[in-house]
Amino acid sequence: METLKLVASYLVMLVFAPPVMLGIITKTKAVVAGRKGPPVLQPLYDTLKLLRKGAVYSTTTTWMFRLGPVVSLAAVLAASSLVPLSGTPLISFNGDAILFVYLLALGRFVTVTAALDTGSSFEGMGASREVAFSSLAEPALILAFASLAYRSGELSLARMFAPHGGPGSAASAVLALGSLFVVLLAENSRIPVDDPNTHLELTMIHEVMVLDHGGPDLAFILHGAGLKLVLMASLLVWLVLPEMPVAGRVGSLVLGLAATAVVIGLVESSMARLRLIRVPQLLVAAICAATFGLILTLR
Amino acid sequence: MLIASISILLVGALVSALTAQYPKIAAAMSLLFLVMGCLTGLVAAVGSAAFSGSSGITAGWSLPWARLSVSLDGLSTFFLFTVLIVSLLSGIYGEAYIRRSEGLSKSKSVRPLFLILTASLVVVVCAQNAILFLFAWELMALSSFFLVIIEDEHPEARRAGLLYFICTHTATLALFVLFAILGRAAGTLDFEGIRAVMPPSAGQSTLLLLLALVGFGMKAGIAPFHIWLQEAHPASPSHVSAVMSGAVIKVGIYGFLRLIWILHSVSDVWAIVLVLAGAVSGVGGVLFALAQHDLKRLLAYHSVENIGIITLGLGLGCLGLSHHRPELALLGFAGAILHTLNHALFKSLLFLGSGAFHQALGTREIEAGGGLLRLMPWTSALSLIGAAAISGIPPFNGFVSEWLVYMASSSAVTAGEARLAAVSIGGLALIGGLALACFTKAYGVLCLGIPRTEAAKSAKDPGLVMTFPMAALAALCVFIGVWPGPALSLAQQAAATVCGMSPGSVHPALAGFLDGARLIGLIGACVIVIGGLLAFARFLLLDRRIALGPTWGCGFTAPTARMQYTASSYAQPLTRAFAPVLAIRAHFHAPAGYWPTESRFSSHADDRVLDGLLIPAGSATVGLLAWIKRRQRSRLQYYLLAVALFLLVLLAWKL
Repeated sequence: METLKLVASYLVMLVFAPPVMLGIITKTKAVVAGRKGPPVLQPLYDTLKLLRKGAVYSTTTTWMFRLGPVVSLAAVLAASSLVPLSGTPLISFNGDAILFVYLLALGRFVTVTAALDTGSSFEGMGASREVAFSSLAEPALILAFASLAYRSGELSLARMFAPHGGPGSAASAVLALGSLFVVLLAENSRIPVDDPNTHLELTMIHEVMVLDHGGPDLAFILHGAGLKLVLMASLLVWLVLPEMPVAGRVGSLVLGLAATAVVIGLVESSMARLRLIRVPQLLVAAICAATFGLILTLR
Repeated sequence: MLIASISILLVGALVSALTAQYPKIAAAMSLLFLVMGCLTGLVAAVGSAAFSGSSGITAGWSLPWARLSVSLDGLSTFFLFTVLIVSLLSGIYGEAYIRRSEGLSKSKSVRPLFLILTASLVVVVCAQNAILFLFAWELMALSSFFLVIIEDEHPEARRAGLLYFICTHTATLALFVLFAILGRAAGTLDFEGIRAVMPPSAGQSTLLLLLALVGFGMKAGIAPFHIWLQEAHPASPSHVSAVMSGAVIKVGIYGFLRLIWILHSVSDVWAIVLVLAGAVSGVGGVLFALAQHDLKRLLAYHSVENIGIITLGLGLGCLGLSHHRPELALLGFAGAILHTLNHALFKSLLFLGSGAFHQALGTREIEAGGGLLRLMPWTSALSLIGAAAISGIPPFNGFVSEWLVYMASSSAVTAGEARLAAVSIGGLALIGGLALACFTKAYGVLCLGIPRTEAAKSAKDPGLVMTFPMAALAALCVFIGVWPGPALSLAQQAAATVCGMSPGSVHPALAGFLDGARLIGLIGACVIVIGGLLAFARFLLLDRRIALGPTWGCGFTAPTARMQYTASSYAQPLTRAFAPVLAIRAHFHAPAGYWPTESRFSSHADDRVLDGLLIPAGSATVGLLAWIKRRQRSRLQYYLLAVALFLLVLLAWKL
């Protein structure tokens, strides 16, 4: 019964959390700008509409292009089994944090190769930026994980992001939190790294890679991207507020995710995106923060 | 069995050399003997792995101190598997490759040399006597040298051959000194004998480390001793590159492990030096690979990168030995050993693929390709598996061994060597991201998009003989990625041998990690299954409502193949970010005037050690000596004066 409940709540999170979180971000930005904005569930309606459509494939493309959306969503779904989305994760073992990072890399690999399969120079440009930025985001993420792992004694997400009174200072946790937040923004193509709402192909990163996808393929990609945001945000949430007394573990996670969405919306409303040439500097700063955090933990 | 395998390979070399006048007979004979020899060797390896009894044979030899002694322990067995799998599959591929290549099909020596190389590799990993080891080592170096220069009508092959020759003999020289020191201390040159009398303090010697680093590190390609790799791998025929990268450089790693086994224990200095060298090789290798346009040169730099990952594992293992932390030692060594096999599999797969691309396009430039996934579907699809595996992503084998090295690093954090662990973790993470960038670049430009040249438009898959070995290697990559158990337990046995533990049982501290690896395989399989289900769901949702059209050109309707993103542009954000390391030289002939005619742009990333340091230093030395020579007056008085001065110096020194 417990297992059934766990799986059921997992499924609910997997299906509904991504669109709702994206909806809250859009709503926040609209409210700050003084607009009404689309309903919170709009991303879900979009996904459902896309699932009902047919597909247009470029004559240049091969099976690689059709492999991209399914494998990237499959990789994020597999990664979600390691994240405590409903109190406890489905699977947990020492070292699963590394697997989590590399499953996201698998998703990136197939998205990038699918983009290059179209032969479009815009998509090549997007792919190039994606791999460049994430190869700097990855060390920041893993180093932040390493400092958290030292506190918990195990490189598993469930242990690292569980409430515990292990050794370690508040400063190192703050540094890890900061670098994780930057990585979250960069990996999920949010401002200040990428603007999901831009409509100029030359300036986009993630969106331009999926220009040629449509119909169910685009639905898979959008849902996968949203799920990735949810996964990384829930790690942040577990780090900041381990458990609230009234809401229980799942409830506090849901509230935390909503709060994170509002924070992301506020960040996006309050600043412009950086010039592409500045993004590596931001990411290197995140790497430095993570490294300092690791040093502080070890001291 | 082992002796039979070696003899079959050597007899095969002789037979194929004698029948070289008749290429068809020579081809059939060499293939027959290669397959028989390798299969016999594999049977011996399986037997040793299954019964874990070291079956050895010892015979006298007329050379002083020398004995013809070969046997298989856990470590030798593992490397024997690696060497034989790579040689067998590359050899089969090589037959078809030689037939399709104009220059090679005329050569009489390529087949015998390949068989000699295989035999010498087998002897190197099984030898139990230093003289025999060095003998086989030298045979391996020479046969691979002749294979590098087999197409000696190309000046680059001659240059690469000379460089390789110099490097490999520098390495051998260091090994002679190394074994002389060990033999002098022990009074014997049998590995078992040296090990038995070696005091635990011998591992403290920095001199031994230095000699091993030059001797084995030069062969393995650890930076800064990697200088021959990026020249020799592109110059040799592709099946030889596959063996060089898959097996020959791995023998350097084997040498390190064997030496650690002989010494029982090593000092902290080893760990620090190896971890730092590993991080430098790994990050440096992948960065220089990013800047390359020549497919085989790019792959060669990736060998440096992967040797870096292996060396990180080695260093962490040494840390475990010196701190008496068995689980760290086992994890580090097992990660290094498993990555040796994994790298052998995916790198020889990629080199075999590069040979097929090279023959189809007539050049190794990746920019000459494009759209090959459509035109050479098998080679491209199999190379994709290699590219994904080398990027270290699940569900392929590269991830499993990288994960082990990660776990060793995280275990080193708690061992109190946090700085080394941080270097290793950060290095691995950076290597992972950059390798992904590099292989999406190479693969995307070569195989995806639309053909960029006329040659690419008419490219075709090679025959079954060339695709079968690639398919076998790709299958092994997926197999180890999804079901890492068997390979991991072999690697763990080899690691236990290095640490001097009984290889039979799994160390309790390691059991949890083995379970973790199994779960990784399971999750990898889940990704494949979920992907399949999603594809099926899409099939149902689409219900055949599929339209075809051109790629969206953002309003532009007449795109050409030349407008595709190029490899240099793709890598540019990263090469610019790491510009101080790479020092890319660009030749830019800009369009000028109102009616610009011709404009050109090209860029090179020269090797920092070879082209940036050694060649300038060499020519400066030659210049200095030439200056001295010009100043030299050939008068007897000066010479007598010099002799007298030298005697005076000697006298002063003795007093």
